[in-house]
Amino acid sequence: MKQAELTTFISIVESYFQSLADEPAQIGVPYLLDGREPALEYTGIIGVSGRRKGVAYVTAGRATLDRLVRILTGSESADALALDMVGELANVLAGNLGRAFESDFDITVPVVVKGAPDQIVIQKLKQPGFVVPISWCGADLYIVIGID
Amino acid sequence: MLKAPIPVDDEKRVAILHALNILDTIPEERFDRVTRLAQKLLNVPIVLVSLVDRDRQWFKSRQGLDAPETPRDVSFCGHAIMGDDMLYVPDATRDERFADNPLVTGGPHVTFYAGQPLTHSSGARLGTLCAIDSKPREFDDDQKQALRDLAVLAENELNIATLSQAVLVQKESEARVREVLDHVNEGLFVVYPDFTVGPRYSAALPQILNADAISGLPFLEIIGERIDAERRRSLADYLEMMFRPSVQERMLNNLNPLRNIAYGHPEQSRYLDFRFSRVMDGGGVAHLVVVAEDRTQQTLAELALKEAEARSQSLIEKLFGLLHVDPRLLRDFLEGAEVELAAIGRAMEEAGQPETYATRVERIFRAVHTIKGDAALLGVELVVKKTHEFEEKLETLRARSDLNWSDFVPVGFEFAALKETFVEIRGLVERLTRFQEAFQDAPSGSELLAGALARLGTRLAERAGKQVEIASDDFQSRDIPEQHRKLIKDVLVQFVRNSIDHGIEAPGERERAGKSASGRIKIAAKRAGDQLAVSYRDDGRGFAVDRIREIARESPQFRNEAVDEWDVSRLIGLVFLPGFSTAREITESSGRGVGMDIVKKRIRSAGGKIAVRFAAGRYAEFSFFLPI
Repeated sequence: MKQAELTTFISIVESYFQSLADEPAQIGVPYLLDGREPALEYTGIIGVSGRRKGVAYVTAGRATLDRLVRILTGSESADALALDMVGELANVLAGNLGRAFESDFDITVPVVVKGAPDQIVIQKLKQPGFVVPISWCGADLYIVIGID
Repeated sequence: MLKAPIPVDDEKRVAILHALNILDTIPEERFDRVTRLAQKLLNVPIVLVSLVDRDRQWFKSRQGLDAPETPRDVSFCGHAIMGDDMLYVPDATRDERFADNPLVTGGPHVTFYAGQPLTHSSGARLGTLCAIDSKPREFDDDQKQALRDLAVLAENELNIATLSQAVLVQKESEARVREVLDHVNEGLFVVYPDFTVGPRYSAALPQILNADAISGLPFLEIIGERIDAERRRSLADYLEMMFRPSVQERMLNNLNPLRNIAYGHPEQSRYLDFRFSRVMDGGGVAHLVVVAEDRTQQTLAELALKEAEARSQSLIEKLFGLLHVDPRLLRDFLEGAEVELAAIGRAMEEAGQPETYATRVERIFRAVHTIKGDAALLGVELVVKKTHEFEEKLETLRARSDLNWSDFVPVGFEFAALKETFVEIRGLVERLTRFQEAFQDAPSGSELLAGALARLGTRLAERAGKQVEIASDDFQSRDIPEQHRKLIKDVLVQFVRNSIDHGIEAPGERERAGKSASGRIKIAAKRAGDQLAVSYRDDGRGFAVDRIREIARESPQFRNEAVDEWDVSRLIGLVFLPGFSTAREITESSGRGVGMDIVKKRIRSAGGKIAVRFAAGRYAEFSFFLPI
């Protein structure tokens, strides 16, 4: 992963949140993964294969996802919708990776899980991996990205 | 373009042609006589005896044309054999059947064509005797009749079933060639003087070149975008020279731009190797025989080997960079670095709100600076270099007040690279430790430290164009308690750096002041009751009080203070403030204004205190006291 790719990727994610609710997302300092990967209540994971390899995931709490569901669909959230929402966020990641990263690669369909991603997924995070903390509408979420 | 049509009984016709055993045989005078005669009688540049095979027209005799065959679908003769009488095209460029035919738009630029079918005794029309010009023109009736008469002569020759022995031998060798072409792994083909590729090539060629259409096309066009523009230009120049018999072929070998080149899309490229050799005809170059070989496997293996060699070479260099250091000191160094690396990680992870970013940068900077100092002490140049670069990046951030997340992306990457360096070093140190411990008697801790300080001093002095000697007779390991070892080491390192950068003068200046050319540093440690007293003294110029006052005066921090009225002890106290440095330029050892503030902070946090004495032009002395 190149510096410019990570910066572009985060900038695109930043504008995505901005476009949702006219409330800017606060991007925190991206920091190096060091074996304590953040995991909130729901996680949406995408895998990268082909010319580049690795994993990226987004992990968010129920409150964040409920808020997103309300903004996007107008409906009150339920557990299933929160899972769908984190899957949708993972889809957004997938689309943005394609825009921010050079050279072609394949991106898997998002996998959503309640809680932390499986250890197998964690092991596929390529070094140097980064955690991007995001604070949006008063709630926290994290994007974790480790692509070679 | 109207493609040459296929007669309904074409299979039969082709079978009759094949049965004549005439295709791909050497030229024979009985046919060449006819074409030569026609060329002269009709005053045309090109005359051919063309035989229309299943997919090609092959020329049994040709005057004025190099190509031995062309594809059938673009052939004029393919049209001519559809009728009994002559196919007569006075200007192909104005004839919609042929205007965009590649033989018209490109070489040999067929414009005028008159082709009289050659009919076998069975009635099958096997080919033509044709006359071609690159200009539009007309034949009068006599000329048309002459062509018909000559065609009858050619027909007669065709109908003579028995071929000469020489022709049969040639036929057999042609079959062998075909067999070779079908089975070799290399791409074999010929390039004509107009740079087009000949119609016969090995079966492996299309796959090697990743091209479907090859026959009759310009070589440069087939290769197209698969090599870069500059190499294409070189190739055109090279081919041109290869066809110039006056230039020696041997001289051109080194100019071949297609030796083991990356071919195709940059990320999927294969490695191909092309070798060209001339086939001479009389004094000229008739064509080039080209061998194209796919060397992807070998090349990738070679590249991987080179990379592995470079890696192990760099590992060996790094290992040599560590060999001079005692493994126990290295272990201390790694432990210390571990603490600092963790501090950098925490500073980034706990960065919080943007208002705190400047403080975070400062924390990262101090940690990096500490690692650099320790690395310089031990002479681990690899780390010194890496941390210096890291500091340079941080330095630009320290000067700014508008930091945001994106400023930390390069910091993160530098940090990752530094961590990676330590992973490597740790692996090397483990190996070294096992090795050295097995073979060496261990010197005591203080000897190691004194030795390391002496090396650091010598190295820094050399860089600064100075000389220094460090005396450490009164610095004994029995006096130094284990819990303070790292602290004392870190503090002394900082002192040595300061002495060389600020205190000790250049040899000339020292001699003028009546001192020895080489600066003297003396370190001592002594237990006194429940305290350990460590003293450090250099015989340099002492503190440049005026310079400190000057900097304080310029500093926005003291804008509202009466700096000019400060006494010496207050001014000396400034050197322990973060960000305060009197160095005029930043070097690897000092000048960034961290170091002395760390010294004071660490001594204090260990429950100790520090004192400074100096005499202008004579010495500077630091004493610190630690509880034991």
